[in-house]
Amino acid sequence: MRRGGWKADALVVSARLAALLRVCTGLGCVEEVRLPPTQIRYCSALCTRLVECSPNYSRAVCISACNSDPLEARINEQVYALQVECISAQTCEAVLDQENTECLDRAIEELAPSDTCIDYCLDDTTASYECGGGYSVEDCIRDGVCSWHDEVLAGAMACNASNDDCEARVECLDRVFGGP
Amino acid sequence: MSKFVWLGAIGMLAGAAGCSGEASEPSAAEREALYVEGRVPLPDCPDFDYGRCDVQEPACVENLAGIAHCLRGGGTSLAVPQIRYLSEAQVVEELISARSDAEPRPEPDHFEIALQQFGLTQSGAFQPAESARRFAETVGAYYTNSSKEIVVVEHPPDPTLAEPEENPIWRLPLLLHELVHALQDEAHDLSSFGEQYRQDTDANLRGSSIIEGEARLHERRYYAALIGLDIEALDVESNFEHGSDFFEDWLFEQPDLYSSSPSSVPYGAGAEYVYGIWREGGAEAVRALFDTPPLHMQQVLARVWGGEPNVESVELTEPVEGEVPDATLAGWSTLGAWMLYTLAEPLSPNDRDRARQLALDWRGDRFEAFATSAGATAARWRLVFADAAAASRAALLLGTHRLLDVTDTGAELTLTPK
Repeated sequence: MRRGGWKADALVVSARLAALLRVCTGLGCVEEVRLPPTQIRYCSALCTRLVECSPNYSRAVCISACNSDPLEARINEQVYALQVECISAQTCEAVLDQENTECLDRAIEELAPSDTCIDYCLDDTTASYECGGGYSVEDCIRDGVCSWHDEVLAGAMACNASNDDCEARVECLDRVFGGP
Repeated sequence: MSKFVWLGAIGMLAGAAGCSGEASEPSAAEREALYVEGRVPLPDCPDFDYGRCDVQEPACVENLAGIAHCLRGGGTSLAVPQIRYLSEAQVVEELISARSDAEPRPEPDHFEIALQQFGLTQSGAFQPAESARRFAETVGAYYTNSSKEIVVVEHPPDPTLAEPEENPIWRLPLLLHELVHALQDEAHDLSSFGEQYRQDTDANLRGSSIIEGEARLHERRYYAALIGLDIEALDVESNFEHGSDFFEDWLFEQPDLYSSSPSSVPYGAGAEYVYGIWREGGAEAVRALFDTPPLHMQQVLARVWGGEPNVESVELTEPVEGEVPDATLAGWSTLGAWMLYTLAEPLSPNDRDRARQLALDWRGDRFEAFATSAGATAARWRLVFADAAAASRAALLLGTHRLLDVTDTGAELTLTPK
């Protein structure tokens, strides 16, 4: 994924999740929030497999940490839905390997681009071209940017609309996607 | 019922249909048609495939050659030249071997030393091995008019990057760019164009600006269609303006402004210049530049930066014997408005317009390297400006250069190393 990298972000989430599990075990440190059903199913599937595969994981803490990570709310709900079946069928070795992004990769590949994502890619590649560069609209869509939630993409489009200055546009996009 | 009522009724029906939810969801193929690569052909050459293809396939290269020929307009269709893929080391080896018959650089190379005294180049920069290395590392591909072939340079991957730096799609515009050069050569004979119009520093940059500027014009327009954009909905001028900024920024990061300028200004300001010519007069006007190119770089820059157009340059006389005591002229060149800009820009990094104005006010120059009787190098750069006020403005800025002294005489300045 461009702009921060969904794969990289997923690894960060996994690492952060593992850290939370160690720090918060038994503390119940995360408050409940309203979540999309797909995310709930994803967290349930992931935590079920983690608990099945390792005695170090507590299901309650795992679910709590997974559901409360702020990054998770910024991801397209379909990405969660598309991973559930894959995670449930994964081997323990794959589930416990924090660098394994097989299910995520497959979900990104299967994800149908939303109208907002197509609009974003046309908009961003146009802005990039007019700033002297340019990249493929198709690459934009296929490289995983559609894994972001439509609201995040709408925020990114606002960067392109409001910035005549190309450097300011890139800085704005980095803020939206959580880049450097 | 009047026509207007009917139209209103039709409008309402259409609106009702739109809101009823009866319209089916677009299929995956219909949605893909909104963004697929090459979906909107260039309007001036609509009968080609603008989608991605494999440059190793002959049909792909033939299609690119057809696009290049159509965009350029005029002339017979191109016999596709041979394309070779070489490593940087192989390119260096071939370039050095090709130049083995050339006259060796003089020793000492007073012209190179003189440029060093002005901070414009580095020691050894003109040596064949060094210039071949710089070329091989900088370019993505090149066309050689001597052997009529295209060489694509295979750069080693950057070990600091996790993912490959090069996207396969970039090969396509790169190849189209070189195919434009092959067409230029076929139509205008680039060797004789070079002999006629690229004989000193300023003329070389001017000639390169036409050659590279045209190739870049067609490359960038083609690239827009390739990546899935509609060229008619784009601000293409903005692409060229930002391209110029990029190439300028890159140049001023280089340690050798003189040797790096041919890799910068023809692709930046040169392309912007040619794009302006194309917008006004189309491909025919661009082709005509090979018969009547701009007289010097000031004319290129004046069009791009907004200066007095059609300025003719002033010829400066050769030095008379004894004018520089105990020294004989070893070499000279007209460096031109661009090289003046490269000297001035680092003195005014936060206000490029100030340095640009100096270049726009340029009316002529002569950069001279002398061999002294003691075997050392003496240098001077005589510059003529639009008027005395322009020369004074230039003196004020150039006088801050740590390496140079400035003598102001009316509209003329003489720069000498301290």
